[in-house]
Amino acid sequence: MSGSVQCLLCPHTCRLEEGQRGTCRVRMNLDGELVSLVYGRPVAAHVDPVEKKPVYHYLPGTKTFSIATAGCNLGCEFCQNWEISQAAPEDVPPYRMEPGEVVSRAEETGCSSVAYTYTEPIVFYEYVEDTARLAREAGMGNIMVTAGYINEGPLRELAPLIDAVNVDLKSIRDDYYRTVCHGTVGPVLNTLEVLREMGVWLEVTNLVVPGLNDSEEDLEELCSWIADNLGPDVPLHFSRFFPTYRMTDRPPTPLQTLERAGEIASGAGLRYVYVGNVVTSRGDDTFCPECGRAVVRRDRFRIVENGIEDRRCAECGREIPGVWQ
Amino acid sequence: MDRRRFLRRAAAGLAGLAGLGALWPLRTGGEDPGREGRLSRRRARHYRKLAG
Repeated sequence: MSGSVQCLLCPHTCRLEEGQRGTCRVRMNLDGELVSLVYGRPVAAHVDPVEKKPVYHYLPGTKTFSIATAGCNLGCEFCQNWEISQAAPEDVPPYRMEPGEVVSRAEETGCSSVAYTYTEPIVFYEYVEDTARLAREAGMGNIMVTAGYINEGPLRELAPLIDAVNVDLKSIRDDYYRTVCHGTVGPVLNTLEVLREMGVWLEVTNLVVPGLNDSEEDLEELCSWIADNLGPDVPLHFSRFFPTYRMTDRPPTPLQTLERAGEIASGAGLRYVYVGNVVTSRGDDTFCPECGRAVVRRDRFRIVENGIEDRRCAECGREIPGVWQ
Repeated sequence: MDRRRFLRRAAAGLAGLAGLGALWPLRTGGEDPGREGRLSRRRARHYRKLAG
């Protein structure tokens, strides 16, 4: 007779009776064993510029083969990809693509890396792990774009296969995570600290939602936490909110709010601050903190100029943190 | 939504569809195996069996 199981992958630690699925919708108790319903079944597969993730300090100007399966272990009311992240896997026709084929497609399309993105790669953990191992053997990098809601043990096992991560830190406040995202902030902060400690290239995104997490106090606290706990060299991307899914009751983030967020981040000591999801004159450029030169100039997802030579600003020689070659 | 933004979004949508089209033959080998057939049943990691 089959029994119940407890998933230990993420902080939800779902207890599942026979036939039940976790919060993520894609991990199920089948005959007393936990199975993944989405292994080798991506619902999205695209070639993207690495800047679209966004990851700005990792192989700029290269392409990344980006995949996602259905499912997510959070339920953010503003999710831009809710049609696939909040869907049951049988509701979205998938591709069939085993890890080896993902890597082959990435090589054929001239990609330098594979990105696990769009939904939440934590919920397709085994697929990420096997694909990342093959990609690494083929000389390619691995990028994760994640909300970071994972338990520390599984994270520490996966991290050595991952070269760059963008963690979406949605707010610094626990009540925000509980009411808007159906999670908690503690595990996300722990993920950020563990990735930093393990030496994985790390960038952070914060979606600025009008009236919810855009107060001066919230932004100051978030930026100070990053500066104090991750260091001033971790790039921070402020992203513009657009009304969607269950959050259609407010307007897009005003540009002035994003500019103010950038000022607050700089004031907290962060050296690499970007504004995304919006066209700005210089918000996408990387500036040398020493001489002020725009060392990497971007036009949306295109690299216009790369003035980094041997990891340093070509103008003054200051080291610019990142993975540049 | 102003006209310029609408056109920009429409272009982005078409580009997305073109991307999907490029990989469309990979979907389920041409025939949809049905809702159940869309699922894998790969043994997962990081769980424990509960007693009782």
